[in-house]
Amino acid sequence: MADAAAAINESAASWAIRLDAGPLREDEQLALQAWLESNPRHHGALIRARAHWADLERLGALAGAQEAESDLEDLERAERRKFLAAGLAITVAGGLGAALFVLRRRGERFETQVGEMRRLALADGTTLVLNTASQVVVRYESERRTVNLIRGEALFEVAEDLERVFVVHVSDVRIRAVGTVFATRLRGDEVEVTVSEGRVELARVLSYGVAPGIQRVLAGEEALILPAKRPEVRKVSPEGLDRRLAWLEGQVAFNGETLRQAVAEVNRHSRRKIIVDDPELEGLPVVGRFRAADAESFCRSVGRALGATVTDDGDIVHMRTQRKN
Amino acid sequence: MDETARLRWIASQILPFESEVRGWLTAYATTLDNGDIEEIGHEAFSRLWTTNLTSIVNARAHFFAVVRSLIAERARQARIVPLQRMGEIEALRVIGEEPGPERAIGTRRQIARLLKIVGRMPVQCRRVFKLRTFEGLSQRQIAEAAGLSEDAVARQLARALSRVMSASNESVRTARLQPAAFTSGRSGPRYGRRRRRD
Repeated sequence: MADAAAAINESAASWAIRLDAGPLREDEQLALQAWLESNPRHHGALIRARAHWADLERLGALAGAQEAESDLEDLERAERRKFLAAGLAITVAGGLGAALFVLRRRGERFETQVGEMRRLALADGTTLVLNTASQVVVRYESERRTVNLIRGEALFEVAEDLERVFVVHVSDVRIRAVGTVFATRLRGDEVEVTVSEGRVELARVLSYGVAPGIQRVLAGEEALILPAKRPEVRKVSPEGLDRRLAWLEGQVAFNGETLRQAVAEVNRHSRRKIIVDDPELEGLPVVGRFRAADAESFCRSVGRALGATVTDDGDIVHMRTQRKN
Repeated sequence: MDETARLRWIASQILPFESEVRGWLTAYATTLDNGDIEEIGHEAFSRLWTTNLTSIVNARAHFFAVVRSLIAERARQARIVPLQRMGEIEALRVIGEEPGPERAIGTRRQIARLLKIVGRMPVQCRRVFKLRTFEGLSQRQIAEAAGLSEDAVARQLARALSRVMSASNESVRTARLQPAAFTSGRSGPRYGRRRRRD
């Protein structure tokens, strides 16, 4: 009896998987019908198998996201241990602890400071460019390449490798790419994805699993993903794309953004911070291309255009409306 | 609710109690053999499917009630009913109606359990399964990426699903000393039903 049950469960599993692949062909439909009619319990067995599969899709997506997350935890633990091991090595002169920890290490972390930009060549030929004040954890395995963007912004020129998917996790957003160039940025709890070549697929990994609906973003499009909202995808003009990726040349570019937005962008790159002391001034539009990490020259040229005075206060540059006497 | 929503509802509301119900039947419904229990399990899912799921307030109690009424129906249909079974049906009423401790295990533990099962899968099976569920690729995308036929991908996934389903019964297996009753053979599933496309 139990063997019969096992055989039924296996057939049910096969049908559940077949249904997962897409609509049935006509002959398959007939075969399923025949199987269901041959024994009344087959129907229940199929529902059970499909429910288990639905559960696995949910758990699997969470497990995938968790693996990326636990990489970071492992890394932090390992780094603490390395710190301790370094102290130990001085007294015991034994590098064994450190050697063990290196073997255990699963991901590699890269980061940049404010005003810094780094271009990294990864083992598979993928290029990763880190913008200012950014951090990623990169993990390459036999079946997939995973990058976790922890903060800031990064651009990926993904080398095509059909054997291994390339997945970037940013907050609760999962971005999958094949032979693509795209940038992603984490701004508070918002995620931006800009694609300049190829395409990517976005999915959201929530506490109960993947949110339904995978969103495609094609070359020349960008997606803005706000918490608990569907991704908004819109077209970007070639000039817009160029401005968006100006940071690759150490620049920031604006085309009518408000001074508030522009200053926030410059402050991201610059150690010297700009403060605008006038709310009216903050709402004025800014146009132009500037060196990203140079707060002072930004203030001087924008100040001239908007009729603002600039005062230098050491670490802080102030902008105010010019007094009309 | 559409089909996907119904499957998800069953996955989240009923599956967490599957092993508890089995364990209960195994321990108390001693006049039923393991084959009977499996069959009742299948029938219970079939019956749930025809129910208006949104009207169910307590899924666990409902699941127990369905199982109990299936056993009672069997008893009515059978010519000879062991006297003992009538008492068992009453006992099942008790467990079904009590509010019951929250037996559903947390997501973290579910993930840990899944990772364990995945770790024991054969390499190809694991790889395909992870691409489908961890990375969310479609079966067709996996076939392209891995250079396999779509049938081969489906076979590996069915294998993975069978493993997970039998592993979910494993905790109950020890309750009665009739091992292998709930699990499919370790030799892997048979695929006589589907012909391979070449």
